[in-house]
Amino acid sequence: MPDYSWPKMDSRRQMGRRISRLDGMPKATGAARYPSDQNPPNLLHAALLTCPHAHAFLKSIDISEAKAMPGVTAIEVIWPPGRELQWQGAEIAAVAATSEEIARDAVRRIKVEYDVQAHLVREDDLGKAGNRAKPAGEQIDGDPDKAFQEADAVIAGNYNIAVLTHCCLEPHGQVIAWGDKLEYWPSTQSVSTIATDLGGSLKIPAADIHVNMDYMGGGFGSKFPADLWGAVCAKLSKASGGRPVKLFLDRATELQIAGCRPSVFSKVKVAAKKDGTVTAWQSETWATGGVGGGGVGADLLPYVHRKVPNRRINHTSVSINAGSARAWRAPNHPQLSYITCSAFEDVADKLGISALDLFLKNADYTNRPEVYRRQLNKAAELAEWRKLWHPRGDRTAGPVKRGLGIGVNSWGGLGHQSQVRTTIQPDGGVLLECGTQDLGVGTRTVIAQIAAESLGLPLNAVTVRIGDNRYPASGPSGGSTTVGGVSAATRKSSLNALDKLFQTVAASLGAPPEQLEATDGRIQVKGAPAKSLTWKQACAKLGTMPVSETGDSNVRRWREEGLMNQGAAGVQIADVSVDIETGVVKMNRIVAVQDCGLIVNPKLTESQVYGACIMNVCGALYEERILDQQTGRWLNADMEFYKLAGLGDIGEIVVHLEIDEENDKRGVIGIGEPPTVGTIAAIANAVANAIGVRVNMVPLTPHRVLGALAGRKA
Amino acid sequence: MIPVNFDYVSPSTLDDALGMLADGSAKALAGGMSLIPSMKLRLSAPEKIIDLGRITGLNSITEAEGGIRIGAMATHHEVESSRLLREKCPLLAEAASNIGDVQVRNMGTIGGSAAHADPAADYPASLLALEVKLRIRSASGERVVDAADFFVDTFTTALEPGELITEIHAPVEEPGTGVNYQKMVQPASGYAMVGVAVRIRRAGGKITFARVGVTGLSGKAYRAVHVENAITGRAGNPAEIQAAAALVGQDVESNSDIFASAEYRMEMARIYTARAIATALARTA
Repeated sequence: MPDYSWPKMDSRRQMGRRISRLDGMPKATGAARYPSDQNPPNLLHAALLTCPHAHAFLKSIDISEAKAMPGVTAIEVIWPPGRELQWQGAEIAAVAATSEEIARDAVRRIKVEYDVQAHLVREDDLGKAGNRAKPAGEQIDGDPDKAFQEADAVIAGNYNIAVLTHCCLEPHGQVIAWGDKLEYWPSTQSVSTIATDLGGSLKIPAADIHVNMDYMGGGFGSKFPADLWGAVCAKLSKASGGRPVKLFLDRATELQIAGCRPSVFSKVKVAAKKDGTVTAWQSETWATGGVGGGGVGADLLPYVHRKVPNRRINHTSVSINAGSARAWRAPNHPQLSYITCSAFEDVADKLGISALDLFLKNADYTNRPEVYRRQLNKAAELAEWRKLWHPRGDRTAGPVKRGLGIGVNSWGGLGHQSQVRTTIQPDGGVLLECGTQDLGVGTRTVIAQIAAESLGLPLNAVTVRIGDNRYPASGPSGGSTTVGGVSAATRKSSLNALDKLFQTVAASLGAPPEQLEATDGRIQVKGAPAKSLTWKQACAKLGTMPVSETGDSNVRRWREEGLMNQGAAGVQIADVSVDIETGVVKMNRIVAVQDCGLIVNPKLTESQVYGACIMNVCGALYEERILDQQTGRWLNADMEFYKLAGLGDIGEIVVHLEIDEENDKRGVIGIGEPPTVGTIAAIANAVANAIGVRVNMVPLTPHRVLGALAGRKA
Repeated sequence: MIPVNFDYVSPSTLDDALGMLADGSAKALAGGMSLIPSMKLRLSAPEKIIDLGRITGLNSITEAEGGIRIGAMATHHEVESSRLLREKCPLLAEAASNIGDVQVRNMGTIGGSAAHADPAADYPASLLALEVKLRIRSASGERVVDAADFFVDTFTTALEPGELITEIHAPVEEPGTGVNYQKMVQPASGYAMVGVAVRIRRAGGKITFARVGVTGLSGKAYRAVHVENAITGRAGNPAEIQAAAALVGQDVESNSDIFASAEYRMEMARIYTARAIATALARTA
């Protein structure tokens, strides 16, 4: 069996290089075809009819007029009369037609009667939630009451954060042609498993479903299932004689029903000693993720600092009439980091000590005290903490105040189950096949780097094919699990194939296979490089038969194999300027210090951190689902009033990855999630540091900032 | 995002366009930066569109009879980059440079913006502060309307069916006039949550002339005469500016939306009025 362990850091040729995404050019030129770009011949377009009310029973539905329209090929009525619809945007019917215009016009001609019911769409006031609030019960550790009595300082604060949505640039949807077999082009985070999901709803074998997805435009945790609209799209195709049907959600529906992140509202008390040591934590939290209510993992409070000895936590889940939550990049962690880091900085302010000192002091409550202390110090250095930090409230003249704030993160990121097939052709060509998906993060590039490294070849000597369920199965891309899984599987499949090649050529090199190595495009005898073959010469000895071997990430034996690992940590410091006359917050800089084990490609890893920070500038300053309690309607289900950050809103982002022997020997760890956690906390703390008061609701909109300055609670 | 079906005509002369618009049933398309989105959202559904884009000679910017004549089809980019305007009527160029984004400024026109009379549009504040005159034509004749009489209400102007704005007459600023337009932008659309245009002159340490136009705050753009009166005759120190700016919302009902409550908008009107006055004063020679 080959030795799968990673080559030593200083002997790597391809791993560790700052290689740009291999698919950057096709993406930049538009040659890359996303699922929503698929336009097979005879394509039909579908549109959804959705419920305009937050809560209603479907009384009647009449499709006769729509059905008679020229160009309409099929109508699927999703629910029979009597169905209870629990949120605005709930799917009712879908139309397939020869053009998008006709499909949308036909949807308008469907006559629906509703029996409108009372609704609840807001969770901020727990007192108004009645029996829709479900307390989870109190949990107590240690003796919080005693700790609060004995504390040198106690703070009480409210830290609230609104529901936001995934807002994928490519909305959810797919193209499906269902003739004898089913051709399926979904925008998904799980190429290898989605056929089972769709096949289950359609009651056909997954083996009869071919999934293809070369590119996709954003998922963030919301694109795992085939979804109701997937099955509806398939049925429309079937009913239209197997013609392909394209059904993608329009922007409003995308925001309304395709996923959101739960809110959290909180009342927190923290006790501390004079030296900054936190001695007790108490939190009452409530949250919603839609009709199903919302747990936000309150057990994890105080976030990262779980070893605080005395604590009392209480969480209440509130069910409201709004589209359901889906996993959002590090589910619950951003909210919990925000609550915890905000309360910690408020304690530091009350004690009159630096927030940095307080976090350093309490690092012992984390699972990795040395790592967090090192990262806190590094982030402080890069953020010029000594020069720029000041006690709360910038006292300089003029309306623009500057401040710094800290946020911390933690994540697992262990690789998932993944398989890769490496095929070496007699002509020297190398093909990597894996049923994984590239969400835009560089999965293709990482596979190519590891294969080239393992085979001693240049990057352009290997071809990577992913995004097809005919390739060896690979897990869903969620939880920062992809890079670990595909890296280990690529390493093993490539060395397995190379081992076969060694066996073929060993005799002609006069050495046993285990004495051979592949390096710089040659197969040579270890210690005797004069005895060698070029890669092409070696492969030619295969005759006519390619070598094709698989390898898997073996999630049950990852510790023994040492290729992948779990446990990422990071610290971020935000630097903001706030105009206290207008309340507008401007990002100056975010410093992000992060570890994630062995880093295959620092450039792609940094890009992940940039993306994470940008996404959370949006969450800290702009993104908020606004529902109107009077009408139950969404007020901002679009991209004008549901604002995302533009280039000018982001400021500078300084990324420091911890690349060293110690981190490297841990193996590969995912990076998608961890840097998304803590950015909002850091920005909220920086705003408090700048203006001298806590704004207790995120996003930190101008009117909330002014409200806090005027002494009002948001 | 798909409009209802409509007919589309693009005449090559103004007379042809006026003839087509005469019965009031068709809608004129100047730049389309508001009309097309509102059609796509099906907020408006005209049966017929008369595209003015092929008519030549409607976008010139020239100096004549002591003023500047700006063709109604001059794009925001043409206005912001006009050397003549930058030198002799810089407020209009500054206002234009604040509109939307590059794409919008390349397509949108001054006449289209004025005729649309969006209560959050940038131009009206400056057009009012500059006391421009708007030359208006129809198939049956021509008239000239003062800016003060032109903006009647939300999306409502003095234009009658079948009429088009053909020219805007702006003054040549007297030397020493300080001007400024600034706004709080709606962060996604770029519209003005509040926009304030100021022209100001100072002589012998006293403010002798002040014009203040405000957009975004209420249902229509207006001249804040209370502010003008309060600052005129003063030295223009910070306290006086604050006191004058505090009058910006007098007799005005403030808009409210999910981005900015009425209270917040009113406060921003005060802040931006003070900032625009201070900036304009600093620019007086």
